[in-house]
Amino acid sequence: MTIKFIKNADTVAHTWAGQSIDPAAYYQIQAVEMVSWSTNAQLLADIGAGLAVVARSDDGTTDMGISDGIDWLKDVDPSPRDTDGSPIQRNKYTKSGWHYEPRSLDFTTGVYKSLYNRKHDGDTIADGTDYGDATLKFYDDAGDELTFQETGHESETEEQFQTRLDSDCVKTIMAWQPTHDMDIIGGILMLKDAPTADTYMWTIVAPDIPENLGGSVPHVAGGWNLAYFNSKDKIQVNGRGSKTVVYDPVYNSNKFGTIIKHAAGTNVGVQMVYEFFKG
Amino acid sequence: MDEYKGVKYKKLNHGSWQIVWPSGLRVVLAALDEAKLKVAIDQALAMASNG
Repeated sequence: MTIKFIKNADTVAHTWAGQSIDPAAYYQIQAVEMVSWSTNAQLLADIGAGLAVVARSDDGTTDMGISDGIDWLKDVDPSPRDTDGSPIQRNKYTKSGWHYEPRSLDFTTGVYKSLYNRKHDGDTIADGTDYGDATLKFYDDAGDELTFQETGHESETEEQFQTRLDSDCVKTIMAWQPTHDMDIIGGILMLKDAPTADTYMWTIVAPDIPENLGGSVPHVAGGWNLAYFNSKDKIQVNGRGSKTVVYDPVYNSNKFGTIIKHAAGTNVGVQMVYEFFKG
Repeated sequence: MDEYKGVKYKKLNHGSWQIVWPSGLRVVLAALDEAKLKVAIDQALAMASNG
């Protein structure tokens, strides 16, 4: 049932359809009264005179203008129509002015500095401004993060760090947290040098917050075994619709963590493409 | 829905809590009293800041 409110916009009380409404007060029309209110000549005249206002709620946020209000009161379908009077249907998939912008995040498991997440500027592949909204981290089998020149390895070169990763890294996490709002649709996964040994992938939202506190919500669940795919396979995840995700710099609840567990020394090229609309 | 530190929440019929993070992500937390729910949100805030 359509919810309809009448607001008394005058400075004195009015009675419409037998119901008195105080100044600035709202009255919700009851289901059995719909016809008597929508055909009440005095009410319609007072709406036209600005003494009564039709609204969809009683909090002042949905007060309607005269024409829209009368249409709402009389259940007139405001959708655009063709010359035959038939409704014109336009499916709207996102907010006005937003556009489709699939974002690629390209990285290789267990390989230092392999994340490629850049703008198109610059002249070479190595140029281009990094978007700065994604990280690539590496972990050993005890869950400890492996970082370049960490304590005990202060003087290592990048080559030596890579050797350490080849030996010890069994989990690679690529985290992406866009600094803009978006309507996310789904994703596409592409692999280079697909693994032959079992290699499992998850995508988790709000990965910093444990599940018992309301975070770590799985979007790719169960552990997808990448060993089932061939190199350059394309795996599309279709969300069957878009979902608004607002930038949250406080709880980071719009962060997407892609977790890949792999054998040490397994270097799988992964191109994650997040499909979304954005402004 | 009520709100605590930017997180919206409401109690469900079976005693669990529906919470909505600022991103719009909705999850259901196991039955807690409201004070413990707020403690959980405080803990999540601390972890998110350190994450």
